[in-house]
Amino acid sequence: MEDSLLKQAKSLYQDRIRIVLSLLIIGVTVTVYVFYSSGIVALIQDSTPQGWTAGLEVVVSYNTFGFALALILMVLGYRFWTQAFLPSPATVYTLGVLRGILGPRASIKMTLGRRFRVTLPDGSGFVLRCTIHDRGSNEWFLYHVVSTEINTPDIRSLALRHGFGVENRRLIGTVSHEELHARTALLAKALSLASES
Amino acid sequence: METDTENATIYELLQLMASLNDTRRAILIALAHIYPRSVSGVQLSRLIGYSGKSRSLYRGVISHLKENEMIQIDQLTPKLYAIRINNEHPLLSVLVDLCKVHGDASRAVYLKALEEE
Repeated sequence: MEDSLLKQAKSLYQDRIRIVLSLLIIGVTVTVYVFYSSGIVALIQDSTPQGWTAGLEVVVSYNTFGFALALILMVLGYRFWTQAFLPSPATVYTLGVLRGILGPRASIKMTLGRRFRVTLPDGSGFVLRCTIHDRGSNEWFLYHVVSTEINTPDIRSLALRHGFGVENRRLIGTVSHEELHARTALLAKALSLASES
Repeated sequence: METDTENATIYELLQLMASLNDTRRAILIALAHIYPRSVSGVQLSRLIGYSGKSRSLYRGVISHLKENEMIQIDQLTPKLYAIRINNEHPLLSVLVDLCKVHGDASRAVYLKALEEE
C-alpha cells in the first residue's frame, strides 16, 4: 500500500482495535466483579441448597443473566464500533479522490456504516461502501459500489464496457483503493451515458 | 467508418485496462494470451507472479473479476477450478483477438511458464 493517508488509517485502525480489545478485557473483569461480588439471587428458589445444587444456584441466577446481558451489550457495541466508522485519514482519502474526479457539483454524503452516498448533478449516483481488511482478499480498504437504478435497454453491455457487473438494474463492482479514482470516473461516464439515452 | 468504431472499442478497452489495478490487469493480459486455454487458481497465481496466497487471490480478485463478468470459472472438482477469460465480454473479446493476431511471442512465454510443472 503506497498511499500515506491509507497507511496512517490502517495503523490507526489497528491501534484502536488493540486499545478497544484491551478495554473489553478490563470491562469483562469489572462486570464479573460487579455481578458476582454481591449476593447471588437465585432464579429457582430452593431454601437450603446443598452440594452441587449450591453451585447450580450460582450458575442459574439473576447474576448470570445480568452478566450475560452486559457481555452481549459490550460485544454489540464493539461490533457496531468496528462496522460504523472509517478512520479519518481514510475518509479524507476517499472524499479527496471522489471530489477530485467528480468535481464540486456532485454531492457526497458520508453516512454510518462507512458509506459514501454520491449524487451527480443529473440525479443519478452511487453508493460506495468501504470494507476494512476484507477477509476474502486480505485487502485493506476495499470499496463496494452500487449505482442507482438505470433504465436503458442495453444496461448489460453498458456495464461490461465500463468494467462493472449488473444486479437488479444497478451497476455493481468491487473496487480496490488504487482503482478508486479511475473506476469512479468510468462509472460516472457510464451513468451520464445512461441518462443521455 | 469501420475503423472508426474499431478505434472506439479499442479506446474503451484501453480505458478499462487503465482503470484496473496491476493484479487484475496481469490476470486479464495473461488469460487473454493463452485463450482458449484455462488455468487453475494456483497456476494463475504463479503466472502473474502473485506474492500472496492463491486462496486470497481466488476469494478476492478472481471473484471480483467474475462479478464483473470479465472471467469465467468452471468448477471441475470441488477443489479444482478452471479459470479463463470471458470471450463474450464486449471489450475483452477485442483484447483476445488482438493477442491472437499480434501476441504469438508473448503467448509462447506464457505457455512455457505453464509447462514447467
